[in-house]
Amino acid sequence: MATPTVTVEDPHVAAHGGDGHHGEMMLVGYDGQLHPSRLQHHFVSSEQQFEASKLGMWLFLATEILLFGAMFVAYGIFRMLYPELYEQASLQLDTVLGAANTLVLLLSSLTMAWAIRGAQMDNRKVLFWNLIATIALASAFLVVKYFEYGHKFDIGILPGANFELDAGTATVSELGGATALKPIVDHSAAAAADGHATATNPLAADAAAGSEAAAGEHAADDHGEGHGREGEIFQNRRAGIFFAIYYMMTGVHALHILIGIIAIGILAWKASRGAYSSVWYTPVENVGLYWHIVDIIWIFVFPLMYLI
Amino acid sequence: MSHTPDGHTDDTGHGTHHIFDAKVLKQTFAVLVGLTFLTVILALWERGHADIFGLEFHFPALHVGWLSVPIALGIAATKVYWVASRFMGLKYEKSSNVLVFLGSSSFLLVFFFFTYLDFAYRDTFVPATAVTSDAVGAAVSESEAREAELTPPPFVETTGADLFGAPAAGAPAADGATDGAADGAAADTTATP
Repeated sequence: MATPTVTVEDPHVAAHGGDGHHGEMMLVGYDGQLHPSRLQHHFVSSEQQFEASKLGMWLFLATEILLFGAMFVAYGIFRMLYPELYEQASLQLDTVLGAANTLVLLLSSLTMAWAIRGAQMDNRKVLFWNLIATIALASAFLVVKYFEYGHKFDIGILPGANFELDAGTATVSELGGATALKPIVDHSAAAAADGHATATNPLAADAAAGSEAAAGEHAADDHGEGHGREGEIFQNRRAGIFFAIYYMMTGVHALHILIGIIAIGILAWKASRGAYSSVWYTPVENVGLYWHIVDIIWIFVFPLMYLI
Repeated sequence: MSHTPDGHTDDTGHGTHHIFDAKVLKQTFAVLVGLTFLTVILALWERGHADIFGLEFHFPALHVGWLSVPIALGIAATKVYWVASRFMGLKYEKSSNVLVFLGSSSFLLVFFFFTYLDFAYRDTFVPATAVTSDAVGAAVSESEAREAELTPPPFVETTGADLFGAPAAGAPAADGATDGAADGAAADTTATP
């Protein structure tokens, strides 16, 4: 059935006698009245439709909070069990890069809110360019994360059982624990440079003695193999626990950033074609809410991982 | 813009759409940046050293002990309040969305609380009696000590000694073996409690 369509051109003429939908495609309904084309028949009004859509988005965000919540609980329980592990391990994360990324995400939240404001005020330029800015900032966040991960992988900070302990450090499995953290020999020079840490460990006695000679070489070669591997964490048999949680939380968060970039990219593409106006911008609003929750999660991840 | 936020929302029947105020957005961003710097500075101060782009700084550390976690979480929660209330517009919203946000957050606390109880008090109770395992352990060690006091010294039996004459073949030996002759000849000493 062909539906007659009408476009209301002047909002303010319509506003005084009608529904005030400016420039929007209108459909004539079965009741003979004009209805906004975006309004689905089971909603009373565009307003109700918008609110229902937003409530649905909030329910999705609740599941996001609980998804990350499980990881925060894991973080909290292991922190309770091994407090010194967390203090040692957080020193390995680059506070400056983490703080910079926090600022980048906060700024991207601002540009996202500003984009919604552009849609609300029918300013398509503001909408489009703020969406582009948000994508750029999100990408910058991922680039920083990429370099952070790369550096960690280089110096053997890997999650779980793959964490490279200094040579001679007893693994949890050797002590009768359930988790095996494999020790490596590559960074023995760095371990021996500390000296006392390995010497106190009976299992490390041989390795420490063996690499004592190498310690001198290492001191001369400051940017050698062991560079970046300083700190007690490399003798902490449970280091893998912290970094498993770190990689899991930041990894799932980065995945959310990536999904956000795709979603905002679609918004920007549609916005450039004039899809959104003050009458209808529900997708912009909902993706905006998603983007802010990703920001909120990082607001908690940053201090818990990098600072304390 | 020719139409102000207020006039726009009132006149056109768009209902309660809140139109973001530029000033509020900028202010919110400024507060968030300020709180970020605050939490970073406090964390570095607590460490007593900082490594900023390769530059090492050392300064007297601020010892706050166990407070460091509540302080960091408190600042983070304040930041989240600003993001949720202003950027996400919960301040201007219907209560149903606020309920979803606060509801899911509070269930997170329930989740953490009971997991915490499990781990913190694991192995500290004997389930059948609900008596703390410390008390049970103390009672057990006390009774063991008393038992040790009351137990007579072990009876020492020397087999093969010629106390009552040589043991006859087939007579029960100390360890219950029937080939008493062989045992008797061994002349070993066993202690029976």
